[in-house]
Order: sequence, then structure tokens, then C-alpha cells
Amino acid sequence: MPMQPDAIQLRQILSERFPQLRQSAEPLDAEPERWPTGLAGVDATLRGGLRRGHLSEFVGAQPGCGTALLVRSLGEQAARVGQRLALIDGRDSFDPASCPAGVLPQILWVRCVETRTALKAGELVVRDGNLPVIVLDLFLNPEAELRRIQPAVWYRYQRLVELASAIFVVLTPHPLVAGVRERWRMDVQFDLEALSEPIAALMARVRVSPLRSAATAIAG
Amino acid sequence: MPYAVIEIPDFRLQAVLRTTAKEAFEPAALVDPAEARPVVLELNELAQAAGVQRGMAPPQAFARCRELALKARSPEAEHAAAAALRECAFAFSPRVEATAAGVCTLDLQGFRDLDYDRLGEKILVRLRQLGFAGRVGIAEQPGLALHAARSARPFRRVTDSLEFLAALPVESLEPPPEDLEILKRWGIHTVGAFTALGREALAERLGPAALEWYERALAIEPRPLRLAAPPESFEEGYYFDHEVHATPPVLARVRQFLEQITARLDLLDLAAGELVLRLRFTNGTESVRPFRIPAPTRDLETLFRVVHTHLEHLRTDHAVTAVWLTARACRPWNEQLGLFESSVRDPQRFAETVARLTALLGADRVGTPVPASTRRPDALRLEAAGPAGATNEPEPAGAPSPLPEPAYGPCLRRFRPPRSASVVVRARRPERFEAGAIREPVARAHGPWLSSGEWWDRRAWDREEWDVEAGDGTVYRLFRENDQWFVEGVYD
Repeated sequence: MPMQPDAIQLRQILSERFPQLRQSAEPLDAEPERWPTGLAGVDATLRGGLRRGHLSEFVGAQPGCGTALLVRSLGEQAARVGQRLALIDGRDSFDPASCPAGVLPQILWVRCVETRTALKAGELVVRDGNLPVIVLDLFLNPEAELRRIQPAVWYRYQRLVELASAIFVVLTPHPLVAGVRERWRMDVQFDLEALSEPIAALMARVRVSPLRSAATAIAG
Repeated sequence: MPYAVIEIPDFRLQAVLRTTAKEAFEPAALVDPAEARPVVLELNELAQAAGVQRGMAPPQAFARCRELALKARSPEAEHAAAAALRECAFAFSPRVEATAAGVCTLDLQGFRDLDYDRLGEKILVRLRQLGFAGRVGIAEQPGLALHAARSARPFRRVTDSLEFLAALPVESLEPPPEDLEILKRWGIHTVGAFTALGREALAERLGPAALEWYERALAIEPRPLRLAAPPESFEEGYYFDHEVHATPPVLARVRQFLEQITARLDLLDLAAGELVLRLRFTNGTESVRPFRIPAPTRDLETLFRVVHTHLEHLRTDHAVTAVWLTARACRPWNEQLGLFESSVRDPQRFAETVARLTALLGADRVGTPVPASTRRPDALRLEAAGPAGATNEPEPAGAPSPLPEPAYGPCLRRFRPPRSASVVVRARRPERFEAGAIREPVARAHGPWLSSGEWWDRRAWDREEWDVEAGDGTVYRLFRENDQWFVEGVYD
């Protein structure tokens, strides 16, 4: 059916006012630029890496699943390309001694002790727009605090991340980020023997598998 | 033509008027409230045209001009104006003398093929940007250049010194009024006629004081300049006519200050590395607030935003009576980055974000981690996050060699502070442990790893570390120090 003139005008107004939105009749962009995590197994599953302008959630069932290694790898990747990374450390658990010295200058470390301030700090950093890679680490934050996060917080984050076109990674102990398009489960568990393994080998072992979210269910 | 003189007529009045754009277009006069009987000391052309004269009492002046803006003399404004004038002079010559209030002499020696007319024009433009209506004279000697400035309307270049001097009005010599009257009665109206009398004849008729005027009249003797030092800080200040209870008038005044300060910084190609805001209150107390500018700049809007945020949230019990703003100057921020490095896009915005994060979390919670020069566990320092990342300053001499790069094992997630634990030890190995919500048997353990250091210091440590795998497969690091057990972190 040919489109009515009013509809054409409305479409034009919408595209002018909200240029970043995609209307259903428009073809999907080619595979958006992906930012590699530096973990080969993860990047292979993520089809190249993390998506700009989107939240990516990595869920670990328990410590030992490699989320700290992921942070280190993201830092190394940022250093490799001369970018800086903001680490919003929800429970002040980052250990600089576990990172190569050459990576540390690239990291803006924001040391929080509770979830509420971590979320506020994360929002400030995203709004700033200067740091292209941001990690919000809530992995060790208490369950009681995480349960109090309203879904609207994540919708706001998604909007800000989209506007900033940033790489935004959230590390959580269970599925938490409402409306996230990419949620991954960490599929590795390091045991005591892993302490004797070279880091490169451990990094090669890290795997993720997709976790279904409501957003991916709708899109799928 | 090696000397230029910049003169600001009615300097004290101009000092007060220069930061008030509106009043620059109104008739205005200056009085000194410290005097027992204040009279008009200085006045602008508009007031003069309206019939106001020097020496009039304020009621007389108002009677002549009802729209007259009567300003009080302000030593702070004069100080700031004198500094601004010097900075203007430094923009054109590295050798500047603060000759008198409102007068600066510039040494132009060494400047080859200088277009003096264009130079004079540029100086006048700069003066207007600073809020001054000034005069510029250029001549062979400093004294001549001063005469030239005083007779300039507004620029004068002396090409023939003798001819110039001869035509100068005798008032230029500033003789006392009674002696001036005598000279006028003798028919001596110009400096040329004055010097034609001869040195001895003048001394005989007018006394030894006349010799001083004679020397001044000649003004052809070179004299060394008493050179001023280039400025390091730039200050503007203002006393309010009334107590100020609201923020907008203070903000408006601060913005005017910044307009002047940024113009002054621009003259010398400098930037503000720090701003200091000082407020005085009705109870006599003062508040001083420094603002560090991580990416030094002279951009007006950027600097205003820094102070604006603070003033917007300022709450005081007393009204404001005076405000000063000082900028500490430094070279503009210029960073040569590596070919493949990128810094932040907007350094000032980044600095503001870091300031907000610091306000939210505390000064020791935001920054770039830098390994400390010690092997003490979890010893680190946070370097203030700048636009270009950590500076990676070299280790101080005598510091232990840095720890080797971590090459084995997963990363540690630390518990800060380490969690106190109770550990059951059997056969000198941990068998089970409890720390808060963690209650686990130990499936396997590696250790002990002994670590100690800084025995000479109160921060000395001496501990026994264990890597243990709990019953659920999680790997923890435990340590024992002074017979106390702790969980240091979890491997992830």
C-alpha cells in the first residue's frame, strides 16, 4: 500500500529529531564495529568483540570464572590501541599487582564500596564521553544492594552509552541488567592448579555462552 | 625610536570604571572617601562636558550633572589596573618600567624595522580590550616619550625632539601654579620659550627649583629604566557598594574579572593553572577557595564554569562585601602525544568529571593506580587522573626494584580490608575456614608462602600466605600475621 503523505512527513520529522533510531523499514546496518576483548575464545563467540553503544553483561556464577581476567584483558587491549579504560570498581576489589605495569596508566580506577555510588559514578563517566571503554564491576557487590537497582537505571544507562557510543561492560554475579541485548555467561572455573598456569594459557581457556535476555528474546 | 610610554589619564578613575562596562558610558567622577572633605579628584570627559570640575564638592558636582556616577577610590582596583597595564606593556616589550601610577615605559631597543604607527595602534587596541582609554607616545628618550604620550590624542610619535620640545606647552613641565602664573605673565607659553631664557637666568629669577624644570624641559638625557618583573599572578578585586545577599551579583562580578584576566593572560600567551576565589563577609571573615585547572587554559567559559559550580552551591550565614579573583599563570597546556596515543577529547570536561567523582567518593578513591616503591602487599598509590593519563614518574633513588610482571595464575580480587577469618589448622595446614558468610572446608591448599619486609618501619609486615581451594571450587588467598588469619581475596 503506498505510504500516505502524512506518514512520510512524520517519518521525516522522526528521523530528523532522532537520527540514531532505526525505523523498521530501513535495512539493518552492516555488522557494527566490534571491539575485541583480547580473549580469543570470548571474541570468537562475540563475533569479533564488544559492540559500541550497547551494554554487554558478563555473568559469573562464582569467583574463579574469569571476570577479573576479563578486566585485565580489556585493560591490555585498551593499552594496545592507546585508549583509556574506566573501571568502576563496585566493591574496590581490583588488584593492580595482577595487571602488567604498562596497562595501569591507561586505567581510571574509581573505587566504590557500595552499589548505589558505583552506579552514580558510572553515569558520570559515561556522560563525560571522554573514555571509550567503561567497565562497571558489580561482581562482588552484595545481593541485597543489587536487588534494589531499578530497571529504569539500566534503560538510562543504555541511552547514555548509545549517545556516547562507548564500550560498556557490566560484570554481575547473576543476570541483572534489564533490557540488555548481549548477556554472556562465563563458562570457565579456575581451580587451584590454575595458579601454576601461564596467564596466556588461562586467557585462552576463557569461554562465554549467550544467556537469553528479554531483549534478545524479542529480537530473536 | 627606542622608547614608548603608555599613559592612562585619570588613572584612578579608570581603574574603578574598567570592569563596569555600563558606567564607562556615563559621566563619572572619583572621590576619595578617606579624605575629611572629599572633592572630585578625577573625572571623565562626559562629566567634564557636563560642567563638573576637579576640586568640586560632591553636592556641587551633582548640581552640575544629575546623572553623575560618583565612584569611590579603590586601592584594590588601582592595584589590579596597574598590573593589567604592566601586562599590556609586556605584550610589546620584555623590558618594561612601571614609571608611575598609570604610566609604563617600554624599551624598544633591539626591535628592527618596527612600524611605530602600527605599534601604537596595536597598543591602543589592547588597552581598550582591558577597559582603558589610554595614550601612547614614542620618542628617543623615556622623558620625551612621556611628554609625547601626555600630548597625544591618542598616539604621538616624536621625530624631531627639539622641535617637539619647543612646541610643548609650558604646563608640561608641571611648575607650581604660582610659578606658572609668572611664566605666563612673562609671555612664556611653550617649553621652547622657557629653555630659550637660559639655565642661569632661570635660576636667578625663579630659584633653584627652576633648574629641575629646565632639566625636565630638555629631557634628552638617557636614563636607565627600572625594569619590572613579568607577572606571575593576575588579580582582580572589588568592594561592593552594598552588602550582597544573593549569588548573581557576585557571579556577574566574577565574570567581569575573568573577562579581564583572560584578556591579560592572552596578552602574554599564558594560561590559568589555578584560580583562587576570595570572599569577604559582613562579619569580617573571609573564605578562600582554590580551584586547580588540570588543563591550564585562558578560555573564559571554561574558567567561569569552574567558579560558577562552586558559587551556585555556596551557602553562607553572612552577606558578601568584597570579592577577589586571582589566577596563577603558567604556560598553556600542550601535550605532545605519541604517534599512536590518544588523550581525552575534552580535557577540561574530563577534569570536571574527575572532580565530581572525587566529590562523590573521596580524593583517595579516584585516579590511576601506580605501584608503590615497596613489596608490601596491596601497596599502591593513586595518581590524580589527568587528561593524558599517569605520568609514570621514575621511582625514587634507593627504591626496591619493581615486582616482576604477573605471568602465572588468574587475577586476584581483593577484599579491602582483608576479612578477618577463623581457620582450623591441622598438621600445620588449613583444614577449614570461616570469614563472615564464607564457611568452607579446604579441599586443597598450597603454601605456606612466607613474606616479610620493612622491618625498620612501623608498617613492617611478616606473614604466611596460603592459596586454598574451598569445597565449592573457589580459590582464596589466606594469610596469617601476628597469629591472626585473614582472607585477602579470591582468585578470578
